[in-house]
Amino acid sequence: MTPTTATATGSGSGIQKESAAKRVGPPRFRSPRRRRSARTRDRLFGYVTLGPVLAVVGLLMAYPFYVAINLSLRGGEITNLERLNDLPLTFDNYIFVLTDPGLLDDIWRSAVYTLGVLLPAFAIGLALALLLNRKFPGRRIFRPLVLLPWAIPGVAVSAAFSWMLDASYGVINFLLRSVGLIETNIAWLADSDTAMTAVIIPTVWKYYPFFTLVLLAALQAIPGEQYEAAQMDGANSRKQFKHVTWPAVRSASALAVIITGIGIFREFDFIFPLTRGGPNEATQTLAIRIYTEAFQYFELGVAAALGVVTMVIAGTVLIAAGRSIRRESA
Amino acid sequence: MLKKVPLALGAAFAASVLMLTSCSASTGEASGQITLEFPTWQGEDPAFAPWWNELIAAYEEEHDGVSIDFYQVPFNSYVDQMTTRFSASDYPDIVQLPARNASEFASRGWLEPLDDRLADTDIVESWTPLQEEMALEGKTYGVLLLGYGYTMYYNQGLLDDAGVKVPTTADELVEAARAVTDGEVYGFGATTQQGPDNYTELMSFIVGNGTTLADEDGNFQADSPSVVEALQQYRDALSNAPAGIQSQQRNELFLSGKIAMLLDGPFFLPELDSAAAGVKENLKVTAPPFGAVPGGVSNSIHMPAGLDDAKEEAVWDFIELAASPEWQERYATLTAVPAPREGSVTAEALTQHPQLELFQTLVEDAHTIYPTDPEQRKSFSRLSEIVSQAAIKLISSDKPTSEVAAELQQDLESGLGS
Amino acid sequence: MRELSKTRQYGLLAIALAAVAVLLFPVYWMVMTSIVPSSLLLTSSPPLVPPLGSTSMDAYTEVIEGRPVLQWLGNSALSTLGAAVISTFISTLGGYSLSRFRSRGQEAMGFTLLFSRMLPGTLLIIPIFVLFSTTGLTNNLWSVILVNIAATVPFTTWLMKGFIDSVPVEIEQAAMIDGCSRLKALWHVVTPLLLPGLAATFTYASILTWGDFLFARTLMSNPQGWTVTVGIASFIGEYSVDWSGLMAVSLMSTAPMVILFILLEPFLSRGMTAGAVKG
Repeated sequence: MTPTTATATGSGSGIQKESAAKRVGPPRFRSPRRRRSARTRDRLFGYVTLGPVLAVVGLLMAYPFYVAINLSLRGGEITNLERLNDLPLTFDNYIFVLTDPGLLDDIWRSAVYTLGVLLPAFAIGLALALLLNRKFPGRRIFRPLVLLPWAIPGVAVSAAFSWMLDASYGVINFLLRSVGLIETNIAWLADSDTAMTAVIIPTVWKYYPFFTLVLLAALQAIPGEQYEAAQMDGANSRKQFKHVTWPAVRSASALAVIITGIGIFREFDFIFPLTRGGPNEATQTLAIRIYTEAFQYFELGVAAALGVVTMVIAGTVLIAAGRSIRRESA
Repeated sequence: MLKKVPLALGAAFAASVLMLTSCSASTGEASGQITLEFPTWQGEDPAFAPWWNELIAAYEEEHDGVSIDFYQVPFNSYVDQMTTRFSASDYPDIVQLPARNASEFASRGWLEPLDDRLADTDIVESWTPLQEEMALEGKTYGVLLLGYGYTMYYNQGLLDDAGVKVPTTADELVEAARAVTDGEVYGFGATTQQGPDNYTELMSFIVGNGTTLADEDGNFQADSPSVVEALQQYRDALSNAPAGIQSQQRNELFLSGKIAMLLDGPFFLPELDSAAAGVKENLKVTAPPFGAVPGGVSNSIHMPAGLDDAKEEAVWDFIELAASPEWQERYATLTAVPAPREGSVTAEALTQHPQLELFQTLVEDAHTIYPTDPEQRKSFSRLSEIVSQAAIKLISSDKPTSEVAAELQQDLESGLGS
Repeated sequence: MRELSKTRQYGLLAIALAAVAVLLFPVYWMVMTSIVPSSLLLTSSPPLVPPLGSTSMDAYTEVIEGRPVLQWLGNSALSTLGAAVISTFISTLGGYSLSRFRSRGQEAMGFTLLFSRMLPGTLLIIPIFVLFSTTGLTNNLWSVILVNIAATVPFTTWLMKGFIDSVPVEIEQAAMIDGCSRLKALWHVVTPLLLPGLAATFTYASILTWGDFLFARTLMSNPQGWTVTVGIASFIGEYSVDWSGLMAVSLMSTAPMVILFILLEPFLSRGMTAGAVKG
């Protein structure tokens, strides 16, 4: 734990105890009546400051969420969202989705994609952060350079990769052939064995800089004395990593991994333009399946039921992850 | 102090409302002015946009107080955008659709049947028979803007280098493609990545072989000998095509002299102008190497259901003007594609674009590659998806063709009923 | 920081160079594609450095003259600026609330924020369109701004909470005893200590809004309102893809974000940690 973290946790839990247990307002010199009104005012202030965030999110997410739930419970042919409430209520969409043997495949592919992106992106991010945390000539120039992919819009990234992954004339095949890694061209996006890898690569490329940024920041907060102390104790660099570096970046990593993981789990911008979920469903994740059901087949009810299922899965993972983080940091 | 937070927010909100009202487009209907919204993916197309712009100018000239807001929507997101807008009941006034999506839109009740209005015109009798694609369960929901017979585009230079003649049958096509392919150039070009074009390309081979995916009663016959034969031809032709490409990449490779042959509609002709120097002179167009001419529909124009009377009239006037002999002739002249109205290819257009004669004969002989059964039309996306999965199996797996055909038959029957 | 010997330093430099060479190859190839005619690159052995005399800036001049690129960039800049400023402002307030008032209700609301990120955008898009279409806000940049704020604040509010946690509560209590109201204390005493966090939030919101395609293309269908991502997608046509133009616009669209990185970099790295560590 870094010193800053310690104070932060200290003061944070301090105020928690204060407000939760005794609820004594900070200023002591006021009369009891004024104290009560100050407390009400405080509480009000708490809600008012959270208000704008809740208002925007509530307005723009709660209504679509309500529509999604509503859609998922309607039968018949949905053609117009304004007349949604005329349609009969039913669980058919959920029954259809949950009994569809394809659902497990979609979940599996979503998991493969999410982990397939998270692990390498985190590894690259960490490696670069460790590298850039060292002193060497020109270090400052490298920092914005390695962050560059984060700045490129996703549409541009997927277009660039579809151009580079072209099976016959793509430069990636050419490079791999030149260094002798492959002998014949690989049809990256058209072969069901390679398609998942081919959509993972651009996603990793777009996401690793976020990890670099977060982890580099965490590393820079480690006081040099900690390493010196470890060195004096005769710790080799692996031990230093284990006992000094890793504990310092662990919790920063956890939040970054969760936030990014949620994003990737529902990612659409890279898979769809590159493979449309094909070939033969090899890259059809839940997000792609929802799109196909909604926009290609116009099965809004099924799409919405799938969306709710996706949310439940992501939510369960989040709660589990949140628990383990809290346990670790406790 | 507390009060200032809501106050500040209030001020921010008021400011935003002010900005909103100042930017939001006014429809101006209050002053008796009508604006017809017309999004299209052809708004910047070098061949078709000029025709639309001329037509709109002429229409606005004739119709005082009506203006058309014609604008571009990127092709890849066009249908999705329309789907979103119709399901929110916020549809445009003039609706152009890729014709293959028209039946699905009609079946959701989004399009206005035009039968009564069409009855007062000569459109039905003087239109290409492919106009039939606009019908669903006895009603007509649009006017076809472009129907065509498939043609073969080829690179004479590449065929000569390989010492083969221009093929006239599917077997010759496969042989010629094989002779050309050598790792740097490819004999045939097609969409070898999953997408909606797999359907049209595979179906061209099936229809070209003189058969169909479903018989007259709508029963699927994907495992019949003639369909299996066509699947094999498709497979063999595509084994000489660059792997993993979409149709735009296919076109690009053809235009840069990397592909010897491809099948497409007449609208591809204007693209040949953008071919690389040294390649352009070699690019030619001829009849498809099939016994029967596969026919396709490109796009169509529709009226959304639920317009008010004034707008309905205005939109219909626009459709009628587009369908008038004068503007149909102009279409053929400007785009080098035969317009759907009979006799739209004038002598003048022919001198400008000699290929129009070929296109005209092909469209007259064309047999549609799209389903005729109403249920299959309504679920066209599903049908298309199933067929395209079969196409992908033929392209990238080793499964015997007869097995792919049997699976296709099974998927079609279970997926769509028959 | 430990001092390293000169040889080891150069060793690290070599590793960094190699890593950047691999990681930035896609960017290099985008540059190549934008300055070398596509026909020269469409071979099974494309040249890895631009062949002499074949490079031209035509793609750039063509897109600048032929397409309203500046308008796209302007729209993107407006919506990004709007979304980033408002997100930063309200997530600071929200983060303050989550940090200083820890009631059960508060915590529940905080988690609801995170859950809202779990619905896939492809499902949200139709209802969101309905929402804006009934209020007449489609084809209005505010729609894109609002949606992107809603997409950003669930994360940035938590990020800001982490930063505010690290500001000792005694500092503002002291200010309040001196007669400052809470809001004044927040503004005059707490905010100046939050610069890294504000930079991090601002950057995150900017990157997200600048790169947004799904919402922008759905809500801003009229070309006057296209953001640069919709513009980029428009280079993929029905029959062909203009690769050089697409790459040229893509690279142009990256520049403003790079400038933002460089400007905010001094705060940014400190920012991401402090918030993330405690978030």
